[in-house]
Amino acid sequence: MNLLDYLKIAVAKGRTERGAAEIFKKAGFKGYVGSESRSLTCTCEEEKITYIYVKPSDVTTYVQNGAADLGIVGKDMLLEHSSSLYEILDLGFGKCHLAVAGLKDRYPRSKEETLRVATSYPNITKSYFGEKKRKIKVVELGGSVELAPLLGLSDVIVDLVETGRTLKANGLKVIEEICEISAKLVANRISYRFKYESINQLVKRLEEVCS
Amino acid sequence: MEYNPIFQEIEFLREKYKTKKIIEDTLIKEGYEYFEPPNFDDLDRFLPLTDNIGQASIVKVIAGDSRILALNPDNTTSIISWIAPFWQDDVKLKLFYSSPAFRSDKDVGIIEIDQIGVERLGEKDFQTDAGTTLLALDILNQFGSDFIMEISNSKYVNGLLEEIDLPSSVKRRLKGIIYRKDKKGLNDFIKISSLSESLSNCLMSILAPQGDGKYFPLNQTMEESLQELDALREFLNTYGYLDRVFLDLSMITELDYYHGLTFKGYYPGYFKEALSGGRYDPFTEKYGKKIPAVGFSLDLDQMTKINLDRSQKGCEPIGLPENSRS
Repeated sequence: MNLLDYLKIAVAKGRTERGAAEIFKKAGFKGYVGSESRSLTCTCEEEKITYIYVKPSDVTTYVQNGAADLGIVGKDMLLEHSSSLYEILDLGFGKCHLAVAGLKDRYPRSKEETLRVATSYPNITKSYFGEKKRKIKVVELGGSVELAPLLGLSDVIVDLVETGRTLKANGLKVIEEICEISAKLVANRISYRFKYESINQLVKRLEEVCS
Repeated sequence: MEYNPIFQEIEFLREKYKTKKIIEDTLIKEGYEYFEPPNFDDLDRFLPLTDNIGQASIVKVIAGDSRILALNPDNTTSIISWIAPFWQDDVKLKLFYSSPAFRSDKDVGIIEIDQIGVERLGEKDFQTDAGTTLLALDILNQFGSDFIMEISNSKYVNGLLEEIDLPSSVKRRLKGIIYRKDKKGLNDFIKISSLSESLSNCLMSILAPQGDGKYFPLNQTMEESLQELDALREFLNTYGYLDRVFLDLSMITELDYYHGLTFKGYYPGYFKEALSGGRYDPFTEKYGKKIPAVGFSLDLDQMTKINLDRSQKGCEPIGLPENSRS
């Protein structure tokens, strides 16, 4: 088995992986097992593809450094890690928004006041408010960021909003939308050149089912 | 954890020296003269560079008289900053250097990048650009014929941006979208900015994956850049390199100082560029004098690894090219 003939795809575990499984199945890819098998990798000899299941925040690291040729990951992770990977296909699932949310009328509006922002996306948050010349203090949290304004830990949050139900359930509302998010197929810039034929074939098959 | 015995460490250094010697001898044979870029200079002299790499990535040193100095962050910039004040218009120089560049990185600390490079100053014509690209290809080919070179001409994207009436911050964002080959992002940008059909077609064509698309130049600058690339490809074809060269008009380099020809070289299995270069005349103006300038640099550590891998695979040792190209 010549490893250079195989495509290695790093897939973000969780929701993205479930969306990817559906699309790969629809496109007729054989051997896509998914991370539920507890194995962290899975190779399909027939398709000459090795899938690697990793944490969403690690996908860009694997692909950037060539440990994987391709990656399937949300645009939020690409923005957070200032990725320079090729974003070769929008996979059309996992659609949501990255937004600023807070308790209605309970956040400082003066640009002179420092806004406390709870988020799992510190880099996107700094860059977004930096462009608006707004002074902020980032409160970095690993999850359940909706709790932060309720407990007085922050004035607002920056987080993914899909249906808005979680926000509503916690009495929060979207104040500003930052950008749209969806799952992307990304490529290492050098793999893209050396494995162009197989990457292009894979993209064509996926394009047919995700438009 | 076990470490390499000392003789293996020495072996790597021996191979590094041999690799360096092979490249240096090739450059000397092509008529290039050795130049030593200064290691320290006033931080202010590197300010034009900080637009591209950010001031935080420059390693600062405080001198005895409290002046803040920069530890050479980029060999090309160091050479131009040194030469520009003495430059005479009728001079033609072919220089090479073999020197480390230093960058500060928040995760790694100080990074030392061993580089060998060439700078060809005082000549602005097709022969100079083509000859420099050919030399880069010849060096890559010495270390293995399975490399790939991407070539582009930054005047194409810059010419296109001239046609778009948008603030510079928005144009920067657009450059980022092109850099990432983000088709969806580009479609959204076109919709939001209500761009004309001709501009949209032109923008989308830039993302042609292997430079095999149809292009839609919108002005003289863009037209010229395509003609220059066509002539270059024709020239490289006569040396049998066309199948190694890929056109990529979306190529934007980290050091955005290139204006005109740009190129990058890669080997399979090494996930970093082994070589990068191009023409950068307007950048020299920031040092007080517009000097026609084209050059490239090689990552010596990567070239050494390639050379070591070659010897482990039992490949023939690398020799000098038989005939000089110049």
